[in-house]
Amino acid sequence: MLKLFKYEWRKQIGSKIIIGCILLALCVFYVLGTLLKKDGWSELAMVFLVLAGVFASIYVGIESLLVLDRDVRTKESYMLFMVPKSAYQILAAKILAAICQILLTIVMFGAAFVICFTAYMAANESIAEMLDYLRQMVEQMFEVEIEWDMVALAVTSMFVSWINMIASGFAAIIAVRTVLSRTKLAGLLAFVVYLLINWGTNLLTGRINGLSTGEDTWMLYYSLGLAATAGITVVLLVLSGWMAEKKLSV
Amino acid sequence: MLLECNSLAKYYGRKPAVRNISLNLETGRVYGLLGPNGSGKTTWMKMVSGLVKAWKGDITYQGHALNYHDKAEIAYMSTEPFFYSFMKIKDVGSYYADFFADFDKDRFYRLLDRMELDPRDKTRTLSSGMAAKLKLAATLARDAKLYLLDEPLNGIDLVARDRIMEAIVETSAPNNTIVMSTHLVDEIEGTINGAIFVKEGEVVLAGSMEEIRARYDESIADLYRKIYG
Repeated sequence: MLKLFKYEWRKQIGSKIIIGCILLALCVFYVLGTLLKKDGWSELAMVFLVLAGVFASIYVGIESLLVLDRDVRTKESYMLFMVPKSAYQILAAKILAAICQILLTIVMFGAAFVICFTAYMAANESIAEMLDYLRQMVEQMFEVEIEWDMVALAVTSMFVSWINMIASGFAAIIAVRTVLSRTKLAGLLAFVVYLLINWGTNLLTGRINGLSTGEDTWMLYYSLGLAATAGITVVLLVLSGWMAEKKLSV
Repeated sequence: MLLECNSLAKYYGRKPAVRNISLNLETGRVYGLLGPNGSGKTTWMKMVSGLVKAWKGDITYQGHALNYHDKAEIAYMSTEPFFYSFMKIKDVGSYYADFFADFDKDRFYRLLDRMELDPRDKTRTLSSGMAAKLKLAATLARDAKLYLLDEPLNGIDLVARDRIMEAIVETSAPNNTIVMSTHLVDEIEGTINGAIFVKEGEVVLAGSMEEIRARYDESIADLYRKIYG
């Protein structure tokens, strides 16, 4: 499966190189602005960094779906489906590549943040003052005290939801290409099926969350939702693999 | 028997691509899969190579139901270019080497040399003729048990056709089977020792060249004109 992963990685690495180059350029701009006390430069770089973060998170989230759609729609599909690997292995490699690409993007933005933060610290305050300022800012924004187990659960939930989104997209694309492979509206139909799957997922997780009583802790409440999302994700992936293995013609 | 197809059918919507194909392939033969465009040759090849799922019927490969493991022994070459656009020619060799244990990289480079292809060229910049040669080099560099070559002479100039037919003849061996689909009957008549005539998604005539010649006393080209004319 690692060989499949290698080529899935290569299919998506181009966009990460572009994102990396943009981030690097913006960081250089920010650092120069900070060190040279050109506030306009730093502010502009920060605005573009935030914008880049928004666009990158949207694009990276859907890129694996665009690649899968191309892999089942065009002649390049032969490259993927002529190899002696099961559809389950192919989808697993795609999911793994999508997760790694998401992590790589997070690491790149994390690195950009560290570079900008360090430059700011070097030019302005001490690290302790800055961390305190950050904590106060988050606490004021959400009007809560930071509890690290909640942070961990929130991050895990976000991660699982992201994978669930990819699994829903995979299931929608494969279902539509399996049943309506020759339809010109397949792309639009896949999107509609994707929305329906998401609606079903939300309905189901809502019901499962409802199983917890008012006396349960918030940890149990959110853990139930997380487990439900993870379970639905696994079901969607197995279903996608089964459809691709038994029914999908490319 | 290497491969047995029993009552295979495939429909795209209401349109039949393959209506009812039953045929057997023996080891050590080079078959010509003959028929005009739209007769079901490509769909049959894709079904055997696992790319298209049959709507009805079954395929038995070496005594068991065809499954994805068998792709390790079946080399399919489609009529259209299918390589990833981000690849160079040499990357195609690496891809095949990664996934097919029977792929011979040295033979691949020898075939590239013979077909005058530069390994450093990008696949997306190749002309249709060059892409056709690359497909063939990658496919014939495998030591497969079953080769399915869909229109191997499509888009190839006359001089290169001879080289390609040479490469196909070299690949033919007592332990493998080659199926070539084409409507250029004259070009392959001297190479094949079995023929399968397909019409409107059904096999209308199949057998070894000796059997067909003994029964009809006609060349394959004349039979082709009679069946499809």
